[in-house]
Amino acid sequence: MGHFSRAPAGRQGGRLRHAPLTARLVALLVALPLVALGHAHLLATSPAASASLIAAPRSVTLSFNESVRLAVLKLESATDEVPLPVDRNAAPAKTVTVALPALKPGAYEVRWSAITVDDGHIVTGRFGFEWHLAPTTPP
Amino acid sequence: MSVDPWAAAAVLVTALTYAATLGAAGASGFLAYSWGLLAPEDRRAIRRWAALLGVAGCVIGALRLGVAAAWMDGSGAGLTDPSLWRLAAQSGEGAALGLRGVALVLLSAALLRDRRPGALALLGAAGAAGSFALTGHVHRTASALPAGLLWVHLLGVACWVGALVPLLLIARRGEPARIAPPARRFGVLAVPVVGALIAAGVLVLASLLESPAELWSSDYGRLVLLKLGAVAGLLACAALNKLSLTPRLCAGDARAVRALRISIGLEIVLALGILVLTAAFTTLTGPPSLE
Repeated sequence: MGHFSRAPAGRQGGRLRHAPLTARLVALLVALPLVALGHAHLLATSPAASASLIAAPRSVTLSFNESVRLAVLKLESATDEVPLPVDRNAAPAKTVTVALPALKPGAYEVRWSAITVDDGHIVTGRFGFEWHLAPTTPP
Repeated sequence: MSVDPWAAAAVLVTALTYAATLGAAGASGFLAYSWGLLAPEDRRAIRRWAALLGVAGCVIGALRLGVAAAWMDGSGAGLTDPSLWRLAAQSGEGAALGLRGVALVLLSAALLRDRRPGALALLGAAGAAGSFALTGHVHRTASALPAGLLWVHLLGVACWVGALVPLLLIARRGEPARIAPPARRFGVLAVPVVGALIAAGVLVLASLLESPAELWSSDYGRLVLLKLGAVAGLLACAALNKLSLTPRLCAGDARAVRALRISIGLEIVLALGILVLTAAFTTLTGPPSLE
């Protein structure tokens, strides 16, 4: 199963952080509204981003630096979308876990969005994982 | 750099909500303090403009929730998902939207009658402009003072920016005698108003940043710097209007009316740019200390 790890945190920040100052200013001028930096940060996920598992995960867990309400959680494979129940009336929490149905082996992408309760800031992101059957070893 | 069109739409809709709401509040305030100086047709044009902005502020403000729903969903399907609308409304934005709606209806209703906007209309203007202080970064600070200061800042912005289109409407006929009295009164009031809005804005910023270095070391700070640059341009236009063009208008110089129209047009463009920048750094980023 996947372990908690530092996640790529979707689209929150990152890409602008290591650019030279001039390039960052130009990027801000040209593409101001294009990257959601937000307040809440995704700290970790389970399964971890890019994890390669040998058993199907039974749930997806997202851990944030502050309490959020999960708005959307979508799980997609190369061929279809797996419907996931999201309780939008749940109390705000730093950690959100959603149970998964039995997944077929393959690569999956998780797409999520959440909202902070006090100021309504929206954060979004996505990460992938895959699971495959462990190779059987000869006796 | 990946493009999230719904994030861009959220910034645009937020900027339009600022523009309509602050424009309606400021135009009704302008009517209140310059009523006796205006020709009847100018009063009518400004009343209609302010009422139209009031209705637009309500509609676009509600649309913000829909855009937030679509942003969360990652697709246009969110626009028709009531539970996502409800989630967006429960975040604090709903309360601000409710206050803004009531205030703008009050303001617009008061402007239907051909009379100087009274206490009810001005209360609506103050409530509508201040509704933006009900949510946002200031509520993450330990004190309630920044929210109060933001309210003062917003009232100042409304008074300043909301007077620009009314002045342009009066100046459209090119008659110095018509525009000079309200322009002079606006210039007199603008000094304390702009002083208060800048002072309040600086104090709000100081409460959100841990050090001035965050102005250039964070995305939030750099967007604020861009906004301050545009504000400097706006101040330069305002100084030109007050110190050069208004005295010429008072002296009956017809060419000054055209120069005033150009200057106010530039101010409007700068003001819209400032509102877009503000929408960007309030919607997409946050002060580093609050991250």
